[in-house]
Amino acid sequence: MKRDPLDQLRLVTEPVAPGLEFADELEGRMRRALDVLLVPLSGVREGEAVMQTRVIEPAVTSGVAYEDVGRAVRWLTEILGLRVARHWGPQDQPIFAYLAWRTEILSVWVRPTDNPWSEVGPVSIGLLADEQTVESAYERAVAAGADVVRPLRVEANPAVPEGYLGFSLRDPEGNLWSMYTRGPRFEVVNEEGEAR
Amino acid sequence: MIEEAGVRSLADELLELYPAALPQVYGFLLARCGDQALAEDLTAETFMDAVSAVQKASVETITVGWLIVVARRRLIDHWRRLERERRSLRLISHDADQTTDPWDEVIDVEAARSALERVGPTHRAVLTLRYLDGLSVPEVAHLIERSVHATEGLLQRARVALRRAYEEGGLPRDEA
Repeated sequence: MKRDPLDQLRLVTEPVAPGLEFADELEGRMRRALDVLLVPLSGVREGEAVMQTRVIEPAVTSGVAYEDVGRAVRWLTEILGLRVARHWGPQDQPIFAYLAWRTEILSVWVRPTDNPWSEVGPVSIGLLADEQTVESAYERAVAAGADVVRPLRVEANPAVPEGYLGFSLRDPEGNLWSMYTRGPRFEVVNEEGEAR
Repeated sequence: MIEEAGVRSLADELLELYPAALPQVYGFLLARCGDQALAEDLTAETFMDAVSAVQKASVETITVGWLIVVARRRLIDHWRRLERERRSLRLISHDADQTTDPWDEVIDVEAARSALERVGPTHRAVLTLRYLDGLSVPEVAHLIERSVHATEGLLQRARVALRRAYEEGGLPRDEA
């Protein structure tokens, strides 16, 4: 086969350091954009926001009432991997906490005794994650002896016919928490007819 | 999708990779565009694309190879912008079609690379991808979003245009 003379143009790229000022400026831009710091409950002062530049603005949020919020927060962070965004009350026994999951925020609080929320029974909440995250959380749940109500498995339904991987747990106060791989994407049309 | 702890971890991974990856990405772009300011712009766009991917949790890991792929796309986007601005492809293609493509067995590589800076952006893009990067025609076609057949034709016209610039010699575009 005849060799193409233009193959002689092949370039072996050598690393080239750009100017220090440019390198520092770009690193600064990256660090500011990546300054996500959702830290575990320990080490967070009461009422202190621990999310720095990353702002989560959920349009819908859920809340779960617990008799023992401290135990619930430990269970949700250590097993499922939620992160504490902000809390009020003692570190080990908060009365209210916001927990972050990717783009969403859930709240947990001490079950009241004198308003309609005192009657709310166990709830069911689903968390979406990638496959590796789902598998890791399930391993932690089993290792911690969590109450598994649906073991890790692939299931399918009419909405997700290609199937998804997931599992479900019952938390110490009877709420059901499921984690599964992403389901279908939805495109919703608003009143102006623009997809959003 | 990756939960918050994963996002944090990948963010750390990217920042740790940055010092070693920066010269690789910058060197890749500088060698292909030949312009320091442009190479810096495209390098910045490449790393901010990586930041965006981390924020959206749309990647599981970021490597130098991944960054080079993004950098190459950024370079192609740049050439596309140039092409749109110049609107010269039709003229160049038409003229180039009138010329044959007689390349010698041995060429003056430096002169040919210099000539590459004087051909139109689309020709430069396909020649860079095909010959400097050594990609196959189907790979080039995929990157420039054309059919393989159309890419083969474009490459042929680009070779002719390069040959003409090579024979004419002269200063690179930016220095002329």
